[in-house]
Amino acid sequence: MADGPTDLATLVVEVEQLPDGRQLVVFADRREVVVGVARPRPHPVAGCEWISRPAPAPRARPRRAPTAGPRRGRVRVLPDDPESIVRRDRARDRARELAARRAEKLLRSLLDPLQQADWEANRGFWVATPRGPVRLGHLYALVHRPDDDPDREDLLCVVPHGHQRLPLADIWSNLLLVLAVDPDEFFRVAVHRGSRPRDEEPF
Amino acid sequence: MMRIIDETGDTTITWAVDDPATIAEAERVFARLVGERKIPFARAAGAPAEEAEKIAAFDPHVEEIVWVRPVAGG
Repeated sequence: MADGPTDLATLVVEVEQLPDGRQLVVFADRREVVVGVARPRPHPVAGCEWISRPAPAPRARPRRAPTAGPRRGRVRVLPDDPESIVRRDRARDRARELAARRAEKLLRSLLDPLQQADWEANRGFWVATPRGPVRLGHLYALVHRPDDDPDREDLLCVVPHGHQRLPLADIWSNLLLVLAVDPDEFFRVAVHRGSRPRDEEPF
Repeated sequence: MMRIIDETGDTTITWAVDDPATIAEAERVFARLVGERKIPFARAAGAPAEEAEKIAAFDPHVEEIVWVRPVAGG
């Protein structure tokens, strides 16, 4: 069908008047459209009445869509489930904190006064060895200042077995005892990770 | 007293020189830890590391034994 009122008029082949006042419009392509407004008219059978539609039911009052507002009533706070992840995490954190404290106490007991002061100030300390001092404080990068080269320092990596599960202070206690008492074993296993010029004297 | 470095910081084992049962138990722990390749250092209580001494056998008269783990290059 073509667009526009003029074109529509040319396509209409028939217009039939309906009994209620509306019109049936028939188009050339056999389509039909009813137009107009139906008007009440008397029932053609005497004594009968049109069956009218029941009166529409009263419509519900429009209500607002529910929105997220403040919660009313008491909020119950439930105790932690003993198996909950949160509770387990807290327990693990507490255990780690206690372990770190114990490890720190042991380490301090193994340090001499000079090392203790260094540890307090810098979280590191020097350990004297027959091959020159080693500084503990940077995991995987322990500074060794060899006695035979006053201008160079080496970066060594030595760790205790299973060190990932130990508190950090325990790692230093472990390395400290091995360095102080059995330095040959320390240097035997040490992995050399590089060298650099020295910038200051350790003692 | 023995202090064994571990995940909890350290685990303590104590004995009394006049109590053979506790000494026997400490000796058993000592042997087990040696079997685990852990290293015992003896020291007077609170002495710095430089005064510690590596030991090979259990001595109930040692004030403190600190057990550490073997070391390796990283």
